[in-house]
Amino acid sequence: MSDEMQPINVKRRSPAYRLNAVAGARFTAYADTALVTDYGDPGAEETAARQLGLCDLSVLPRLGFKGAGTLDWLASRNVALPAAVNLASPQADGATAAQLGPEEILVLSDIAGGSGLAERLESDWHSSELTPRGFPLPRRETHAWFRISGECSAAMFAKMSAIDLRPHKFDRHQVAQTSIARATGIIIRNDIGSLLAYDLLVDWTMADYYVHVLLDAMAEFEGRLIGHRALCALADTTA
Amino acid sequence: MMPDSTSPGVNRVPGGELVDYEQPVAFTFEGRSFQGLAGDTIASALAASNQWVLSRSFKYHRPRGIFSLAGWEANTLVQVGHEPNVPADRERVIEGASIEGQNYRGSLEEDRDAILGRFARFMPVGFYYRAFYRSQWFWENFWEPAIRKKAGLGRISPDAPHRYFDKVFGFYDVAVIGGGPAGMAAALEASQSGLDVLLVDENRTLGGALAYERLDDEGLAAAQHRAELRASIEQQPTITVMTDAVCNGWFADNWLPVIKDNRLYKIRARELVLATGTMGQPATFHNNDLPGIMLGSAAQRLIRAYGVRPGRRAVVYTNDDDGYGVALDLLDAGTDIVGVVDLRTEPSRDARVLAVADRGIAIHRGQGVNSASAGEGNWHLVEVTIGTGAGPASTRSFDCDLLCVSIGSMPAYQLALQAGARLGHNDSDATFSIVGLPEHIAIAGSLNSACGVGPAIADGRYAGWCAANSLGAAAGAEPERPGLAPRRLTFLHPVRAHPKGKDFVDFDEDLQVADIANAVAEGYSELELVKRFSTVGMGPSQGRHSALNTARIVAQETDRTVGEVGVTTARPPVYGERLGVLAGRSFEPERHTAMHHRHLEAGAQMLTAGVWWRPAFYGPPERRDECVSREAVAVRQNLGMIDVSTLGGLEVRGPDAAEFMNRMYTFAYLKQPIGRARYVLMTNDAGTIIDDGVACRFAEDWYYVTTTTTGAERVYQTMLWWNAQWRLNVDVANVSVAFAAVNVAGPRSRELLDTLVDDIDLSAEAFPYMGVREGHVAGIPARVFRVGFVGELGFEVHVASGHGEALWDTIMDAGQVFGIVPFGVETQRVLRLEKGHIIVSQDTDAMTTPEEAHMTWAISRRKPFFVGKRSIEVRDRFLSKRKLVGFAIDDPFAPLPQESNLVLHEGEIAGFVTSVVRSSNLGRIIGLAYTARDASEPGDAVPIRLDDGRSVDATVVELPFYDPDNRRQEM
Repeated sequence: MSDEMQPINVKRRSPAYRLNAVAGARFTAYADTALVTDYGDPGAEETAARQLGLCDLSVLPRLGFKGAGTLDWLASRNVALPAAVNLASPQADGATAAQLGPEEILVLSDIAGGSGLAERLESDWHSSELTPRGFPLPRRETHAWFRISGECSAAMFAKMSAIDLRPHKFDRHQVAQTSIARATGIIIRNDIGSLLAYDLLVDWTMADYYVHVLLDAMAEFEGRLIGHRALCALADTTA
Repeated sequence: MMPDSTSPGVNRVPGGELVDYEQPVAFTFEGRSFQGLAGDTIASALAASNQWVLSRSFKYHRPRGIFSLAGWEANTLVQVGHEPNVPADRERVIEGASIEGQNYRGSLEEDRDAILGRFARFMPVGFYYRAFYRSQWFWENFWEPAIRKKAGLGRISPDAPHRYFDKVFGFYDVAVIGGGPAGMAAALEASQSGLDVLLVDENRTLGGALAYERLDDEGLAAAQHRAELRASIEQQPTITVMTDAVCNGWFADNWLPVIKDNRLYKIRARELVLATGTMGQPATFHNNDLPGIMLGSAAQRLIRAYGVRPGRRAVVYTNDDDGYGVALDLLDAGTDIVGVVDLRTEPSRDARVLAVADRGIAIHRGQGVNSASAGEGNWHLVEVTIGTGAGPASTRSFDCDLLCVSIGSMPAYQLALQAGARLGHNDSDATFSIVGLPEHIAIAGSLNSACGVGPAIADGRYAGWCAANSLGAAAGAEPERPGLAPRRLTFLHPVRAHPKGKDFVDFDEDLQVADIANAVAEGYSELELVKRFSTVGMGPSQGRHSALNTARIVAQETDRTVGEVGVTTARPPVYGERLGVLAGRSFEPERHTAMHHRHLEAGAQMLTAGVWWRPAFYGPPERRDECVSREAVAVRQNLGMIDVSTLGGLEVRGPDAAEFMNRMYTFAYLKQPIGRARYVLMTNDAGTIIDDGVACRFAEDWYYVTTTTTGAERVYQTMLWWNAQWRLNVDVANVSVAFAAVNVAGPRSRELLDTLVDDIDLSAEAFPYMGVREGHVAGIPARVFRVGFVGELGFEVHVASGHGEALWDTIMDAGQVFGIVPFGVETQRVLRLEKGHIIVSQDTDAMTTPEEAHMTWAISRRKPFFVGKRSIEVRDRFLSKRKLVGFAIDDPFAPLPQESNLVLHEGEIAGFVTSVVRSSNLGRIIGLAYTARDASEPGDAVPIRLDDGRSVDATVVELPFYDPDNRRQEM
């Protein structure tokens, strides 16, 4: 990774990059895109994230598979599959596989972005002759990805969603596919170590809308945007 | 004129639980300065300074003040700054507040409309039904303006500042509504095994009646019970307490709207316990609405909650022992009691009764109040007259400034009835019962006729245990079901019309006993009819104080019992609620394409298409026509680019993909070559056009299908619905937002793309019209289609959404040397109309067949099946009377018709205009319209009726208007 770069200089951009920039984001190169490193004060962001933080992970790899043969093929690729629909399964490399339907899986990168699972699966799928093996879905293009962390995150979600996401009601690695602020999205409880956290995947073209709605809902809990550096630091300290 | 008050109040006494005696609060009422204490309500702060009149009544403009001090009636509605109809007996007074009474002309004190009270005899119940219906002229020119001027309560201010309201979902195992002894006991019991319990109470602190009622002669028992229960609640971590919060309704599956401050909590509770208590009821006698007449509980609330003495000389009117508790509280607050008037003839042995007698207070047994009188202007009570059994004959009078009424109550039944329960009435002992509760709802406490603190607590515990048990989480064995302890909740006080009237049944609507009786005499003998004829119970109080007395009058007048008459229904909301609570923080999702901000930066005027925002054209709005024309000319003559990311996109993949396409769309797809696009037209099973687009075949088992911008979800769902039945081996994925797309159109588009593409041969021979290719544009992986909606040489470039803005930037930069211009949807609509392309849902409606729209070329009749085929065949045999045609108006000075303008044929309506523009490329007005089938041939006249009633003559012309040989788009 290299510091001091701007999303405008790369061809692949997060749908929320402008809002991040307006909030004072500093970016670093990640693969063919730009990732928010921090908003000027990683320490404060890490502290805030324990209460309520919003991190834009939209540029990190993710991929979906759907259709007959999906689960068998992924199992053959050593993906640890969830036990049922609407559950997620952590992978050994930090990635997450969430089951969205009987034959539909969403694969999220680890938050450091180093697992390479999504890229490997995509490559394997194209080179595989096995049929059926489902079909890939471009989840990096269909969904913006936010990580919402902190002890107030469930209370914040209660302002946007009719699903009870409180930690004692919504287990770790449980998945909700539901209406969030009147549009559909995916919520995966994906704690960072011992810290409560959720992955939120929403319509890529609604990223602007969601950032505004989320920040508005977070205000009463003093939530804020946090950078990737703070999120990774949390992963280290809360493990 | 009342003087300003700059002290906490002449009526202030120590001991108010909710006020801070060290924190004065200054405010104005009716322009005069007052001082209250932090924690005061508006009403209590004013009462402390001897200001008892808060507003005027709706019809007769009578002065009104505190009655329940619980927000139950409209008497206390005031204007606070910009906000009307604020209940002064619930709203906390804040520093600097500017408060006014409501419903007067002139001033609260000198209301010129108070004279209406003298004309009461001319305004009997239902008088407006008789007075206003004759003479349309008189209604329009006199009555309606007059009524409009008088109608409504308070003043709506267009200058009201913005306030933030929002909504939050809440999830609980058990919700308990009502924080009195029964509610607290229920919450405690339900939480014993760790269930999430919500306890909601409308008051500022828990306790219910224990917060103000006097249960014993010493006045200690209630506080002791309350303290114990509150302490237990505080120690129970799984109980969430919401005070100062109103559960304003019940909806299916225990969906409870709870309002607290500016927030609506949307609560879901698996089990619900209602412990909403009872509501004190008024007595009907002459002038029963005067300021200074209030419920005994209101007087006790004033004393205990706010430290305000309710009056100096009081009469207590009662028919139960609780009234004696009121008398004792008044005595302790320094109020002289001139007598307790008890409707009962037999003395009670209750300690409170004995204590009152011991303190030398006169008790008038078997007596009732039959009238009250006030000084000038009905400003405040000065005298009460009593008679035997409240009969018309007076026995004696008392000078007083306070009459506390404690003659009975009825259940706060609203939520229970909304949930489907029924309110029964036992006519033999005048008690109520709530029966027929649905599953997962229980009632407890006085609502359940468990009156008195002991029975209420026991009943609450039982209800709480049952709720927990229903969830499989009861702690311990089932407690013994407590015996109910009903007491005479309704009263002995008769409801008969006083000769002088002003014996109000409904304070909101100024309805008197005779009004209800007259409604019955008019033939409205059923309660619901009486309600509609008289409007009783239809004011802000929603019948809280009028329902029972109305039922009693109707029962009397029809020789039935209250049980037979019944009590009116209850609907949400229980209390008035701010519109902001309903409207606040509404979510309005928006979709922005990857290039959205580039459009804004380029000065685009944006329009919505579903939830998408799209550029209409680029330039200032006042130069719309000029901008659209400039963009259209650029595309026709040179080069333009448009963001088409909003098109829907579906991946259809699998061994049966071709068969699936063949069934879903009207055209033939089994033999569609790989690398080619083909037009798709979708009809529903009625044979009506519902969508169109193109299908691009990338492999034997892979189609990428575009849809209209707003049709993607519908087409996707339709495909899934059909294949759930067909079970073809195909997968359909909605990837609409995964792609950003730019259409580069114009004679120089190939020349431009040649500078950006090096792995696709863009020549006409290698990449013909309707060809599709995969490659790279400016190094970005792309799907490139040779399709176009505008009728020029063009390429549609689809890339991953994350690449969209970079693609736009690159094409724009590269296009500068060619003079490229971005064009918007308005321009595209002009260009496509010149080409004669329809827009589904604009040029089609819920009945349009392919035949009507000249699209039979897109139907493969040799296929055994496609969705809608059978219906199309039937409808083609019985053709409709209309046809979609192209029309033109050659007169350069003709007015431009509008979409939806009517098309006439032989003087009758034959159709309507669906699209119309003034084409600068063609130099005339062109459009599409439905016209009569027998006037749809080229050259036929199309008379169009304009918005202003004039007509303009158009002529049917052959489509397309532009480039009929398609040479330009296929070059």
